[in-house]
Amino acid sequence: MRDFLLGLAFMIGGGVVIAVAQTYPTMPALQFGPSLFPSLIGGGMVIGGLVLALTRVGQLKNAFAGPRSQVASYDYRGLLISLLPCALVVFYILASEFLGAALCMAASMLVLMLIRGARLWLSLLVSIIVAAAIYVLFSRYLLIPLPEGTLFSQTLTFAW
Amino acid sequence: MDDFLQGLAMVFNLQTMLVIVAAAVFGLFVGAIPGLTATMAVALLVPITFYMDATPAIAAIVATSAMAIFAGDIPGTYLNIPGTPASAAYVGESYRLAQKGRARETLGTNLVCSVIGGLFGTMVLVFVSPSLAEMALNFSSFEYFWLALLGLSSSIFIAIGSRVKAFLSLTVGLLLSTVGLDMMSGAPRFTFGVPDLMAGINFIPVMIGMFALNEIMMFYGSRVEERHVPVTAKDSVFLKAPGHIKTYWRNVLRGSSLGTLIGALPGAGADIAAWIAYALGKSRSREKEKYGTGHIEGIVDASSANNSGISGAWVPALVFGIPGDTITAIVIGVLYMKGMNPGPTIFMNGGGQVYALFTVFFVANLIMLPIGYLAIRASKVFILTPRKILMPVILSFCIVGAFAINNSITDIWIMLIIGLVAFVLARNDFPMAPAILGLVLGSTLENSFMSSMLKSNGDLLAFFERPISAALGAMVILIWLLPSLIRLFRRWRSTPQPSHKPRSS
Amino acid sequence: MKTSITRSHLAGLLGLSLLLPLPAMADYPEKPITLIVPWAAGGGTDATARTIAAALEEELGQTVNVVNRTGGSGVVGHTAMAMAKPDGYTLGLITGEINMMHWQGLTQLTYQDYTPIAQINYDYAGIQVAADGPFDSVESLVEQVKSEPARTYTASGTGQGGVWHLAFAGFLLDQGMEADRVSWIPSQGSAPAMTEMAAGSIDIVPSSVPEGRSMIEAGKAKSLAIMAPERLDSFPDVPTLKEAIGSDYAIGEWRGIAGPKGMDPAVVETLEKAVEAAYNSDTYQNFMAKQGFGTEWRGADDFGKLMAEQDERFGKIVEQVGLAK
Repeated sequence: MRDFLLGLAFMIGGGVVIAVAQTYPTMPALQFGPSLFPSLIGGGMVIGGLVLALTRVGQLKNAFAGPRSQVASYDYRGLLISLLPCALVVFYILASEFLGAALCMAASMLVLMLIRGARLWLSLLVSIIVAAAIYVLFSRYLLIPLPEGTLFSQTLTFAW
Repeated sequence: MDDFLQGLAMVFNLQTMLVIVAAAVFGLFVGAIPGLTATMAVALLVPITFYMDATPAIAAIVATSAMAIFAGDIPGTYLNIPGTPASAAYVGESYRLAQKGRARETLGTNLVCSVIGGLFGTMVLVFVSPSLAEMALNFSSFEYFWLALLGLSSSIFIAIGSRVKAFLSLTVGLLLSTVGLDMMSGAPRFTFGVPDLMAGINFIPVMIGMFALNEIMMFYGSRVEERHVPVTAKDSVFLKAPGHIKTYWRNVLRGSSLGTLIGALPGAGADIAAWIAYALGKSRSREKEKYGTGHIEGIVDASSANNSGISGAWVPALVFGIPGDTITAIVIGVLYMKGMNPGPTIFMNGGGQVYALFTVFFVANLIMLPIGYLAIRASKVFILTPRKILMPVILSFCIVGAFAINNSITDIWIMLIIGLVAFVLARNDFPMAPAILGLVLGSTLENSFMSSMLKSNGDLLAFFERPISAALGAMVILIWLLPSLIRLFRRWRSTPQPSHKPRSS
Repeated sequence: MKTSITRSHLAGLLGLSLLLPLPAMADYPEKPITLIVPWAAGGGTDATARTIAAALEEELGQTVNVVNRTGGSGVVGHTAMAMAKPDGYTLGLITGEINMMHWQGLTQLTYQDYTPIAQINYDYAGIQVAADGPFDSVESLVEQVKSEPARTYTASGTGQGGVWHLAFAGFLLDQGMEADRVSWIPSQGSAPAMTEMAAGSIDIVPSSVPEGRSMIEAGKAKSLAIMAPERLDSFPDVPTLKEAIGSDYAIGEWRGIAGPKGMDPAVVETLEKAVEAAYNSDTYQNFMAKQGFGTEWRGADDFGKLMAEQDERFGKIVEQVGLAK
């Protein structure tokens, strides 16, 4: 069933890609240009999606005859929790400029550890040490400008 | 002879040896962290090499890059998260072996193959550089088009399970490769007005999203806290490696020579080498059906190939100053700075310096054995740490790793979105590896096709006019037609039984 | 309650670790400076940037981090430079592309979105051909291109509308031909173009001469002329266009240090002096001489004028080539 839907999704996606590609300009001296490859890829998606959907039509009919394990019960709570890491990534993206990379990472790790029932002191310890270590490793030694957090640099200048 | 001894003296002194060890450890960390690439590690070394002599400077680069490529397999084996794209070809294979409690054996074999591959590449570099570089210079956009197509085809044919799904996964990767400013026309495609997307989508955040974030999401969705990778007392790093090498010596040789060859081509590197070697290994194997279930043979081919590719890339760099990959692109600058101007004359006039350079290659590859061994022993931490502690830590590395490649928040968004898409696809048994290959090879395929068409003013037959191009083209077409030909042949013979039955078990 | 305490502790601890390394108020510069490079690690611009950064570090006594923001024919890096805070802690290595991209509709940014600090390099375009190719002088090249039908010959070296494309198209216009009489095959840079030329699939690479140096030394390519007013010190055998065919046409690529618009003039002055000292340092001069890259110095004001002048010139070429939007 889900394969059938995914096949449909690929077909629609491929169609959109082809449509968008038609707006690109053509190359001098050639009849095609930057639209050629996206169109071919879109075409591939449509055909592949179609094949996937069609082969599953047969199985859809069979599904009534024999029970299938996958459809049986779906763990919606688990699905929701599995989105938590993504939510924390979004949190990092939005908050790191202000709170700083280290604090955001520590907070995210703490939440993730606690939700799986790790002990509080252990989670705190690990998340603080790891966040600080990553921050120092990346910004000091690998010269990657991780956001240090405007919150702290401002309070600092005032404090001094 | 004096030059040779002089060269040895340049390498076997305390300073150079210390540099090699330090660089190897550095490469180990960089390679093992998804998001940090060997190229980046080498770029970071450049300012430091300003203050070094030529020999230690080059030693640092060689040791770092060789180690990083091997280290990419460590998180791949334990966590199903490849550290570098060169490891993505066989990550499924090594992870399944680890699930059977053979993680150390896998990594040990991998390490030995990497070292052999690296040494093989070095031998080629030392003895046949000029003629190999001469050959590599015959590759133009026509040849690269076929080569890219060959690589892409292999991802479909090595796919386990549904070929339709592998194909669809490939189209996702190809589509991602078209994002950004089109090199040929300068037209922006699928950028949605975001300036960062003009640069296109880098494969690092995509790889992190597809493998690492996806794996983390799976973990939080499952509510099971069991170890995926068991610990077994019997699992030893080097105990079984000699046996595997002995059984699969042909694969080692094939992988190494293929890797060196592809590495020497200025437009293709270690990642493509690993894919083609893996595919070729499977097609020539007597135990095809074991591939994808955790079969050591697949690892032998590909891990010799990616390390020999690293050495191979130095061939055109030294002979013509043409980079074989992104690492040697940086190396050439360092060579000029140190007064070792690349060119055919480097082999004649280089004197002790050149012998020192070759010796450095041997030493840097050999030193991988002890350091790699310690790393494999130490990587037990991946198994012993409870996953509820490990997974959040990996998430942090994912975020900073995705950011690090361009210092851009946009790449974290890309990682996130790709992770979500991959989560849906992976739950429905779509293989992820073809998408990575599609992204890596997509722009080569398109740009080489387009520039060939521009050169020939739109004449498709031009793809068969150059000898190497024609040969490669014939090979690709044969690969595509082979399955149908075999089927036809079988039907014609009308044998009732499939001819290849599993020999063992 | 419990969580709020732990959270504030956490913030305190981490805050402390972040705060400590920052020094007290002092004169500029008081913390590391980031230098954005719009081109890939390993290329000529990157090498120039890293060398000047190393020399600048010694002058300023602060770390100068080189950060590559590549892709989109330079759009991405130049955008990042212009969008940064004009506090003097984010600078960029700005290249001639800033005078080409906006004419082609790739970005809204022009040279006016930056604070010029100093020009540190200028590389003139050359004309490189395969050693065994059909041309043995600029004169024969011009003749053959004129006599054969359009699009017989191919040239490559940058993307569509990149500096060497425009330089070469300008040259063709200067010689009284259409700008697209030679097919331009876009490429990711001059190195892949030189490889293609050695493989015999393109004819001309109009990049700067040092970029083709290794192939020239290997006997695979030769340089017919440079589009410069004088011969280069590093390639004294290559004639200028004036000497070869009597044309005054000269064009090339400049590189300089710039910051976002609206920087404090005092900071600009400090930087200009530091960059001048770095430019004159042995580290920089030796490196550029070894690589064969051209050095050319312009202070903040002159650099601003150069950008304005070049902007107008490239605007005209872009229009004549038919790439204007």
